[in-house]
Amino acid sequence: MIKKLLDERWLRWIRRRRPLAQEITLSQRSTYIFPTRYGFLLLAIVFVMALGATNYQNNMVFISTFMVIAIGVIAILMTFHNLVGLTFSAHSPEAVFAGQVAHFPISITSQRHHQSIGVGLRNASLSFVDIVAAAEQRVEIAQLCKARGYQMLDPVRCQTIFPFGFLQAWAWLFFDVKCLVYPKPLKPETIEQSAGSSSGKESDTPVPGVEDFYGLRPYQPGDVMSRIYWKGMAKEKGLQTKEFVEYQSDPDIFSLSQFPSVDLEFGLSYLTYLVIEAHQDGRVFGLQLGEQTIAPQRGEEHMHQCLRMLALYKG
Amino acid sequence: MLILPESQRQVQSLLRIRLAIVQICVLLPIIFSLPLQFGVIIAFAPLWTIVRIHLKQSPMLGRWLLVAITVISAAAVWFHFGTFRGRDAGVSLVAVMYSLKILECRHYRDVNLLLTLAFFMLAMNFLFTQEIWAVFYLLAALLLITHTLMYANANDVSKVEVKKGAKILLYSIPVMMFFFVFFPRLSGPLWHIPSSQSAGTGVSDSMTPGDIGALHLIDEVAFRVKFLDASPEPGDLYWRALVFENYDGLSWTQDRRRNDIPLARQEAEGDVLRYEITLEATKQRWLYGLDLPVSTPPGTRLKSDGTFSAARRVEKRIRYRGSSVTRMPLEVELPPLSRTINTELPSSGNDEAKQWARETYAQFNDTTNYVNYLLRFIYEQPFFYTLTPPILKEDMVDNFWFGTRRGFCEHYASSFVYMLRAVGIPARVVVGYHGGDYNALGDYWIITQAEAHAWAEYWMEGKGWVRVDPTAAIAPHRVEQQLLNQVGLRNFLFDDLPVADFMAESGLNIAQLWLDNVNRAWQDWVIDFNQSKQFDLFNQLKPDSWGLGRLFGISVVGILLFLAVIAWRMSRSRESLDHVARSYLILTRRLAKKGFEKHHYEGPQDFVHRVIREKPQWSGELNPILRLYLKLKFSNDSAQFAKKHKQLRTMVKRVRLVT
Repeated sequence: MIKKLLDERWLRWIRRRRPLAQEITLSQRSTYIFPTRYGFLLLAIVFVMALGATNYQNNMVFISTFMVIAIGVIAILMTFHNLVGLTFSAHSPEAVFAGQVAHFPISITSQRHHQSIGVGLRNASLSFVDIVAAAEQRVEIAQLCKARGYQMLDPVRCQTIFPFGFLQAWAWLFFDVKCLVYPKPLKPETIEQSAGSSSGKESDTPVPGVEDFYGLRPYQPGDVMSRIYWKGMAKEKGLQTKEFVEYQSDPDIFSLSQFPSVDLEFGLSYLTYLVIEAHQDGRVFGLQLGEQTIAPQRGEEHMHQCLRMLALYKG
Repeated sequence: MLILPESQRQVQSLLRIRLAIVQICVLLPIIFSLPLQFGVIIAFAPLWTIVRIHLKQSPMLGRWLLVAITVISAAAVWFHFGTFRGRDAGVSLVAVMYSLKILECRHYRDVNLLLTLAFFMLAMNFLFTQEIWAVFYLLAALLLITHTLMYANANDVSKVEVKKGAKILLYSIPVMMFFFVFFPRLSGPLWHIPSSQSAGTGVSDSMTPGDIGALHLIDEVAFRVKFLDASPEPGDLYWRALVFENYDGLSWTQDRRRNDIPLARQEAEGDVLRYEITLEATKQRWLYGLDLPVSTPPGTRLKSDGTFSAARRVEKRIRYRGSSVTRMPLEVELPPLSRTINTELPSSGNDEAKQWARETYAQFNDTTNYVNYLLRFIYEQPFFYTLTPPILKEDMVDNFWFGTRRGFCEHYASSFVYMLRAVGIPARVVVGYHGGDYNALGDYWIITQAEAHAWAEYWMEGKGWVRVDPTAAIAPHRVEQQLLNQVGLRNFLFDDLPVADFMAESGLNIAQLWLDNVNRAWQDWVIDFNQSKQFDLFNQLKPDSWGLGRLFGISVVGILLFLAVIAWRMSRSRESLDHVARSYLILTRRLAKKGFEKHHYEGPQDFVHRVIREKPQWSGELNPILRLYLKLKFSNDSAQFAKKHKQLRTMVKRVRLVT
């Protein structure tokens, strides 16, 4: 309990001191080291050995004691340097929906070999990797994203007890990478017709298209050559352009006004569901949130644009 | 790779076998130092583990079975030693517990516990032996422990290199030496150590020749002597330890009445020989001096019988200085007490010898002639020198002098003194060592236990005590041949024997002497290093103008610098990638010799392909190298990297490029 509390404070304290970055190279200043319980056991053993050696006036026991001390000292350097010099760079993961796990890719490189480096979030299991000089090693940090919006990568802990397990060296990595989190899609129970959109199937609103000839209009610069009504020119009616339209049902413009009596977050979740559903049906749809509007369109790009707006919408 | 929290990690068979090997390694010397049954108990658990794993069966024992074994083992220790205190009992108990631990080693935490405790168990070995080989054993065992620790803590065990462990040890040695020299030492133990039960070797405080059926010559070093000025004649190398003046018909012992009388000061005549003796632990109080000591080290007292002893038992190796004169009269004026003591014999027993002595003495009525006759008697009559004499129970002198006539120095000295006392000549037995082996490299003498000796002294009017060695009177051809083979060191005693001379030359070779030199340096500088030597060393190390603080300061800075250098070396980039580049460089050089210069604009692929176009017969050799090179250079597969770059190097080295 106390340990957790201390950990929390410690983390906050370091966090204030470290700038966020996408690429972090561990220096001696940002790396910490402390004995593990086996380290303390070794200390106790060394103490008993030194006591015994003094009492028995036995120099070979002294030599053993000092060898163990020396190995311990070298272990401090080795454990420490097993971490120092590592370069971590984090990348933005693919967007996820709230409640899903985002996988933040982190690539690790170094000029040297490093063995048994554990990387992971606090209170989660670590991924252990070995780093070979100048070769890149990748790990993915899985982080649960609870709320829509941008989710920063939590402080990442990297640690090592190699070579002997007597000491643990660790460092906190504060990355400036975030994951876009779409609202969690929820199927709306009732949908009220919004004022601007009718769900009537046969509303004959023509939208520009390529299928049906609609009429002629005066030429405007930029009109495609193939659409120019050359015959009309021959009839000296001036330059005219043929207009084509597609007749289709009125496109849906999703908006929060469809869900007047629900909470904003629920509304956004419902809209998310509708957007995804509309995309899967291959329909054309638009989105209107407050003052922002996305004109009706279709396609993957369009859907992500809508989802993004939903993710970042501030009531 | 995802690794479970350490509490959940199970111990794999391979790791378990390594643990068992570490256990055996750190316990092996202990196993041989303890009573047999404990050696067997200790060896059981690791061997069981190895055998069971080899048979692909679980080495784990049930909890209750394990508890039972532990309790029984502890009880066995208790019943054997009657205590858990003291070196042997304590070590037995701890070693048994430690070895059994492997049978309940399930998790990672047990592994680290076992390996960390291995350091402790290893140190326990040196309570039993401090020989120079022990330090090599220590290093080897440490290498094994550190390697196994790395093995247990590594993510990918295939990357754990022995080289790394060796490097750690190499770095550790200077740090250890620093601590060894500068760590503060105490002058005495912190608390009383119960002394161990094993008896010390050396001259014993009583002599019962009739009891001994077989005398084993022990080749252990008793002490070493360095003569500070001149060396005495080899024949004068009698090392005096104790004088036995009391005879009860069976045993010779010191006489308590004389024990506390100090030797009256007398002027030394003749050349005084000064020497320094390094005495091994004898667990006895008496000290050795060349016959006859005139001055003894401080804290000791020269007694009226020409012996001296330390204030406390010699529990560890000590060094002292003394000086002696080889031929000096002792007690020219024989005090009445001394005369009484030295003419006493048990009133009954050995009647035949008493009778024979009186009759013989009557022929000469002169001490010198009588003594010479006795020596000639030994020489002419079939007296044999043997280490396996018949056991003599009653009337020991009668039986020996007229019957068996087989014995070693104790029999001869004892009987000889008896014959003198029987006619009223004051005589006594002196025990100590005779002879020694000269180490030319170190300019000192080594005296081994095999050279323990007993001789006689008789008192003569005007001359004082005169040394006589009846054993030396035995005709050389009646000294057992096999005995000469066993020990070539008694040549001083039988020096008219050609075989003995021959042995003197070949018995100890240069290598043995050199080894003894090393041993001595080891003992001097390592084993005997203590508080006073530490201060001596400090004083030698620093110029006179410096204080101790300055020496410490500079040493601490030195060791910190050393560690800083190690840290710097660790932080430097190095190795594999360089190896890959170097291998490629070697290849280009070799191709250049064959006339294929690599153009600066050419990449490896272009270059090698150009070569192969001209020399298609090389494609078999060059193509695999190129493939591996490109793979190493541009792949991220780190797992294979360490091994493959070596493969590349060997491939490049093996290229033959036959035209």
